[in-house]
Amino acid sequence: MTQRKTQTSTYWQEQFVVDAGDVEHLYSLLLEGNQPKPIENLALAVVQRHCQQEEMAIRAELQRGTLYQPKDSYKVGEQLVFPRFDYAAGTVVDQRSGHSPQYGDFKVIQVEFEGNGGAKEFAAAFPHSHSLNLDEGQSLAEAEGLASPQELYESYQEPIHANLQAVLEKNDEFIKFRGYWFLRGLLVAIHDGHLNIAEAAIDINDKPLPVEALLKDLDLPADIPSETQAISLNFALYSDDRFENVGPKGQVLWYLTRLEPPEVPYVPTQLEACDLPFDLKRFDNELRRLVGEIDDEATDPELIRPPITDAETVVITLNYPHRRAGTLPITPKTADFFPEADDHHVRITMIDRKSGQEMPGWVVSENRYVAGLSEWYGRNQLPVGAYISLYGTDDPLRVEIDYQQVRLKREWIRVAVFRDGRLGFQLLKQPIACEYDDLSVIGIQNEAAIDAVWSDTKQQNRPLSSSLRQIFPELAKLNPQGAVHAKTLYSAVNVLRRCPPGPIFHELSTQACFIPMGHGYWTYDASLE
Amino acid sequence: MARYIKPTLETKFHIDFNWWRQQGRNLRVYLHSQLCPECQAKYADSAPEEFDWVSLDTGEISRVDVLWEVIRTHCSQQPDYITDYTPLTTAVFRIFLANDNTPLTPMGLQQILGRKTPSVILRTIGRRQVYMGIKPVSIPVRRVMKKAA
Repeated sequence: MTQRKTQTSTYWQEQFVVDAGDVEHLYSLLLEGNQPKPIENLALAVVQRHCQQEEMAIRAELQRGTLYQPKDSYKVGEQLVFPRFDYAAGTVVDQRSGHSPQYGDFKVIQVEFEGNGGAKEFAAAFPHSHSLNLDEGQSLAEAEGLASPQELYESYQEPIHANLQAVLEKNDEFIKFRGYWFLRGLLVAIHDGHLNIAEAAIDINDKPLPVEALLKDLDLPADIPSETQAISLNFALYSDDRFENVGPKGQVLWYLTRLEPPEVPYVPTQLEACDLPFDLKRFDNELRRLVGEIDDEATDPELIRPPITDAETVVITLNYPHRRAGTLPITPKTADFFPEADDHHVRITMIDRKSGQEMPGWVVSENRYVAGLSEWYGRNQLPVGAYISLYGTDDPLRVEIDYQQVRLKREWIRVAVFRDGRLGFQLLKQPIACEYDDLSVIGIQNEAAIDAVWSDTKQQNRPLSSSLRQIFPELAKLNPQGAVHAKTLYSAVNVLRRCPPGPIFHELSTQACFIPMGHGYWTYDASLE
Repeated sequence: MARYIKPTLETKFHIDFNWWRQQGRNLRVYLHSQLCPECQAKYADSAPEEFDWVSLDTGEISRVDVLWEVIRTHCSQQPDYITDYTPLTTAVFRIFLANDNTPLTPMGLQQILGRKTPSVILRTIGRRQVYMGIKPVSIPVRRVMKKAA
């Protein structure tokens, strides 16, 4: 049988258009159901409608004549409909005996098609099996072996969804919340008083609440279906700037924007990484290894060493931007410990593993960081380069955090200092009470001065190479051989400006003034610039 | 001019008899060159004779030279009908001769041929330039054209 257009990929991928009739159909569907429906249900309804429309058109065509089947005999003047030719209708104008060494006796009818379709010859009274012949009691649809609307929808879900969403989003009568669509006219009236009650409920509970919990306080009419109540309130909260969905993927939890720290809605300046290109092929093996080892969320996750799956704990090294912003990076190493946000960010609970003290944490999935640790870093006097441990719990919204505590002692470490308004480094004795990465550790004495330099570097749009030429000699003088480890350079550069390791190592690998000494150490010769 | 739709690995191909007519080419001459040596001698001086070839897909009749049947019933059964050295387009043409022009996708052709890949077969027979009348099975677009008008 012929391939109906709705049975072809071309139709759904290239020709499919959601028309006014489809929109009207969906309107009725939502109106009758009086319940929000996911895009999947609406899309299937549209596919069903298109298939039904085609079926009706075919039935109308079939009424124009007899369905052509090679097994049947026809008379001159008889009107036929040809499934294989898009249900074209034609009239039998002549008939003769067929001649075929293979098939023996049969007839050949000449058919004149309507319009300018011309004439064609067809087999008739054909005594052999043929795909156009219907069995006794077999319907045309059965013979065609049609894919069901459900099967069609599953095969072409992506273009169908895209088309449908685009049309519905432009239509003011439809509203959407988390993939569920509803009619604006069917929403329950949620007035300011309701929203004030919801705000107070979240405030009093001091934690994110699901819409079901908020509805309990609102006393909406009981005869309204709970799904309608939920989407009405969800939509009202979504449209009000006071509220924010802070649930993990697939879960809506409402919280108040005014209770969120500023580093949640806005990426802290210290985490705004430069997007400089680099060529990994020019790195030596050690630099390639280090790119994968350094816990930097701005590094392409594919370059970071794959984490051990199902690990219950992970240890990362704290860099200056995260220390200053009170954040943690989300990298392939740490990602499994944090839930992904349903919207922009998720509120979680961070637990100090030593004291058991709980503190709110904010997973900003889109920008790959977790905020809320400023006070914890400060209280524990953690330096840049400190090892931070994360522990998963049974609850994905609760994560334990720890550092490797040691007896407080004064140790010689490199410290960021300022001379004539320029950043430099000195070895100074500093009180340290934690384990740290010796190559990354940097003591910070004057955060305000660093903030000012940071701001200048950004405003002046200073090239990375210039920053390296400033910092490298400062670090080199702290080492008797004048050598600086690439990891140390990364850590120090990030005190001055935010930059992932790739572009820094690219400069090391491509500028003649930087000379590799092996094992990740480099020297600098200004005369080779 | 017919609308060109880029064929895919799922597009079915066949030998389009109309193409031979429209191009003014003599299918009989070409069919004769595909005969086995024994049949080439036997039908060297035979008079042209046509039969009603029935499409098992559409029921449509095409008037085709009887050499088609000779190849289908006899020559195609010979062991050297298609060899590893038969050019790809010729091999595809011979497959359609042997299966009485039942439409096949590049994947179906590859399974019968047992060499090359479906993509290579598609690249060979799916070009705008038609070889030996091997073309995609066209789905008429009468209704679409009517609406567009």
